[in-house]
Amino acid sequence: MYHQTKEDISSDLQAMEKAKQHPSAFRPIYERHYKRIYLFVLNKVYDKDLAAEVSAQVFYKALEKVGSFRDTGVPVTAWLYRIALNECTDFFRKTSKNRYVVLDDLFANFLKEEMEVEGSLEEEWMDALKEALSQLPEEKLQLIEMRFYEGKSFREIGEILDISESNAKVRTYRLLEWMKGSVLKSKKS
Amino acid sequence: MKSRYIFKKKPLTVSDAEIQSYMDFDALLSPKVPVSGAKVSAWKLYVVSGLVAALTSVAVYWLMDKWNHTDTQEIPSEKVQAPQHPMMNSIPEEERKSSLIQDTNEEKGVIDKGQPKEKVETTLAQNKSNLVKETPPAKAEPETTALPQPRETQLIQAQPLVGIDSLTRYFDTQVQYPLSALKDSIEGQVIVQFTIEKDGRVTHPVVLQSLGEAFDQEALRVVSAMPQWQPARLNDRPLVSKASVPITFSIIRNSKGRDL
Repeated sequence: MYHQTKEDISSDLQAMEKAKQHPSAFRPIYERHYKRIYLFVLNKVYDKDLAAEVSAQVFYKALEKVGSFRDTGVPVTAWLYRIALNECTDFFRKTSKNRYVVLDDLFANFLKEEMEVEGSLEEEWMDALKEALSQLPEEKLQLIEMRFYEGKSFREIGEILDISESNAKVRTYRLLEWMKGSVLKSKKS
Repeated sequence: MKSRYIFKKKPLTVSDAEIQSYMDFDALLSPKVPVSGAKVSAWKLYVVSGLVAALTSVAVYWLMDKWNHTDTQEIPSEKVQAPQHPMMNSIPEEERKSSLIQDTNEEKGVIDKGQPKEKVETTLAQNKSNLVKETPPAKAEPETTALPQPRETQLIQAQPLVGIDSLTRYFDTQVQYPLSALKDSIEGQVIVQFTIEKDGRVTHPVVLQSLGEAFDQEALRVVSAMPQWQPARLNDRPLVSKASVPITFSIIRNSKGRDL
């Protein structure tokens, strides 16, 4: 899970409990997770300084919410990702900054396999895919990215979005279905 | 159709060292700095010139504080009475009033339950005169000659992270009137001074104004256990500082109660 050992997860939870009393006890969580949150944000804002700004905001919010954190079996990492997603959504809504999508070959191929779109020219396929992705609102794009770019499991995605694992799966495949329709439509025209 | 997203073939490469350079946990603990990565790096550039001066002054304050602290510990109680007034005066009048109003409300609640109970009333005062940063001449002088920027002496006072109101409430609920003193009907204030470390921990509580052993112990207990503070900051650098709180012990008698 999130490339974390059970020990990491439980020491996160312990740190969270301490941080409720003393915010400085949040430091180990910050240090352990800063990088993953930073990279997560960086892919979306595609600017190192901006990514640092948004990441700082993520941890600032996290620190504010420490008091209301309840151990429901969800790792602290998922909780942080959830805050990061919300902060990113907010960030793009409130600023006129561009939202970037890192669409590398691996991501594109993964989507192609999942959508079972066959035998189209590489360029044509990429254009159609970009167009389909472009029509997704932020929240839906995030879901697709988490699953097919970041390679998160449905369980992780469920934990992050605070929905069940199967719901995460259903939502993802419904989106893929929709994207497939969009791709096929643009191929015809 | 104009795409609402910009697609990139590759992720931005960023080294671990770069990521680490963005990490600044301490900045998160300061509410005055609304966390901006860009600001932090600009700030770093600024600081380079004034860094030496700032560091030395911080060290000087720290030493002075240490010195002050051992001083106060040794001082017998007569000298201790003096700082009480500036302390009390430093509370904004309205704040004091509002916390008093809160107290009376709670008092009512207690009485409604029909139990004669000791009531603890606290007002919080931040002792400005005791704050370490309060003696800026040593710092201001070298810096105003070197680089005359007003921002160099930006001072933020220590404050409770949970807010003054919550802290007052904390004292209201946590302070226990020592039952052993009930028969003597002692009422009054214990003033406790304490140090706020750079990381916001509250340390070295010292009784400035005593009300007897049992009261002092209780006052020290609640002060030691109180929620963390936001350290004082000089130009965004946390400083060790001191503050004090008066803790009032009073007994609510049944006869005093209204609307029983």
